[in-house]
Amino acid sequence: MVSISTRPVSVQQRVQKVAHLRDLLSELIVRDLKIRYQRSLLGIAWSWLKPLAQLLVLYFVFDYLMPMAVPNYATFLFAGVLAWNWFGSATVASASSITSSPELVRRPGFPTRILPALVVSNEAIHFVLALPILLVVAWWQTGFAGAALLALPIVVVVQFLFTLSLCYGIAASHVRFRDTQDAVGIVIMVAFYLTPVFYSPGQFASGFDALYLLNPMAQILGAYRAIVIEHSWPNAFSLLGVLACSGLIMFASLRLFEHESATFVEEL
Amino acid sequence: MTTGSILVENVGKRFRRFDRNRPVTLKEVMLTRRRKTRREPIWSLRGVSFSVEPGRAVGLVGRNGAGKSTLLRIIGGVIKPNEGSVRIKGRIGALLEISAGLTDEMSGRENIYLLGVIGGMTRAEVDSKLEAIIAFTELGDAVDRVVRTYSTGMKMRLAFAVAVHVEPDVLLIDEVLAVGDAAFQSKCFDRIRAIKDAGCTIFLVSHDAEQIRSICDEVVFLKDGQVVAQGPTDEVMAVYESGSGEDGPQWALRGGADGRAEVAGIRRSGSREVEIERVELLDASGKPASCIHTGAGLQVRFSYRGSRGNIPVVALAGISSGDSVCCLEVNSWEGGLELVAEPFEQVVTLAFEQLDLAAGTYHLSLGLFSLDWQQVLDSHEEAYSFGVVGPSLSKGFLLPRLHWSAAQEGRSELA
Repeated sequence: MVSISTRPVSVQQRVQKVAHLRDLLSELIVRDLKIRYQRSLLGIAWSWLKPLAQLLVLYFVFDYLMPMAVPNYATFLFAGVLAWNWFGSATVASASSITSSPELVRRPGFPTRILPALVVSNEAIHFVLALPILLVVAWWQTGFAGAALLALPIVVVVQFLFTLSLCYGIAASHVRFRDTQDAVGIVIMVAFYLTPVFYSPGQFASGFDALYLLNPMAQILGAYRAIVIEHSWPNAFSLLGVLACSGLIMFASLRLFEHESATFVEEL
Repeated sequence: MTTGSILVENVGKRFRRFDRNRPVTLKEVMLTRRRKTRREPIWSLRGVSFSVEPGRAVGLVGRNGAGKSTLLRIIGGVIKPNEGSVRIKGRIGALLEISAGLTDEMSGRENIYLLGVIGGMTRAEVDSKLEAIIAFTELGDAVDRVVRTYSTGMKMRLAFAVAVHVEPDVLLIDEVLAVGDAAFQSKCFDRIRAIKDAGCTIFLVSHDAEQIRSICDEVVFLKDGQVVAQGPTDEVMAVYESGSGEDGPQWALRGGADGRAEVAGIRRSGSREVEIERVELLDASGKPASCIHTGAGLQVRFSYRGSRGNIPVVALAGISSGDSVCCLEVNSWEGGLELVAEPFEQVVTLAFEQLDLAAGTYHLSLGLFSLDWQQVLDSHEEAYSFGVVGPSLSKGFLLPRLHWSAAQEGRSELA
């Protein structure tokens, strides 16, 4: 039998542990932000520049050079690009979440499970910071979305969970196989074109419907667009489907992570 | 289990040997055909068992590569053992690579929060100890400067100050006590003693015998991944420093160079009509020993000489524990040996085939008496001490080979 039990027993200890995880996550997020923007001229404004540049290029290509015939294309595109950037950069960055913090992983009592969550949270901050720009663009194109905006945090949480569920497996795999990050980069790049980020799912050839229906990110993008463009509540079934899918992936992914975490220190 | 206790049972850790040829990338996995050749695994730890009671300080000594750091990391839960189990109750704190985790771009104060939270405290706990931590660092106003501008010593002091304020139930320390100048070091020592006095269990890895002696109650001596000796600090450190444990249990004698274990200033009484002359303690294989393992054999060999011929005598031998509690007393008459002193040296050997004593320091008493016990000829009371290494007991001194088992009552009969 191999067991290391340092688990809290009483309710009070559990509360203490949750409080500690919350503080730990927020301290690490702040640290990463400081490291990232210390001694940089524009600081946090860089969070806006990347999506803005991407938006301009895509908007120029698909609205002037070869028009997409999607109504409210600027809002449509911006919602897609922002959410996709969060997903894509978090999955790629999560690969090195364990390998880039050996000093934390080697520390007795340090909860390594927090590291992939830290990466997803860091990227989420850029997403949330850029959200106001999206809302302004949407307001300008489609008017005020009203009560539907209340659903926005729910979609953000769903995307967070879905992304995190993949990140555990990716992080664990990268510790063992150091080319995981490259592989994930390619997969994400291909997925960018398979997911309706800059085109509308309605433009699919009819045989490709399944590709859209079975793609959780396509469902999540659809939910954002329903809110900011159609001003309607997102499809609850599709979000529940994404949640169920995230749950299954999370289960497998966390098990892999837990299994691999036994040898993290030896592999670093 | 009470908070702060450590229970290590039969822990073994195997390290993979095919490190260099192991595929590190997916590509290599696909390209290399799986070779069937299996090599013998290398165990960096095997069969390590011990328990530590709350509030005790345990030292871990051994040469480089003996498995000390691996064991410390297994106890810390960072590395999982391949066999056996480790059970720890309570929050684990660690002073290992303490300055790792410092962020250069942040101020000292911000780093205190970061390190504190990484070390297991909540922000509120750091808040409540902030003043004490800053005072401990001796950084003064520099605490609000960016850590990038700190000297190495300042960084170490900052990290150490946070680490010793975490207030864990179990504190693991690995060779990090060489922090800063001598004054700061002694302050760190005082702090660690205070942590221990507050009831924290301490597990210390060090090469420095003085550190071990000044902090630890017990010592575990590892060699090639196995426990060579375990017990009270003085006994085990004597074994460790004698350089023994290198070729099996061959303990050097603590007494004179001639192999005599006689201690100066012993309590000696009697008419000296017959005198005990040489006393030696030997292990089961007949080598001089000042220390044995629990359950190992011990031989007491002494010589005596009469001032005249033909004096019948009885030899008495007793073993008492460190606090002078008698463990046993035997005599040659009951043992069926008739002794007669003559004016030349005669040698008597008393062999304990198996001495089931718990770890500790024990004293041997020897005496020669007249056959009717009326006359004390030569008595050396608690004159010769020896150590026993092995599992220690919180109470008592008898530790026979034992095991616990449990069975479901009546099941097999009914079936």
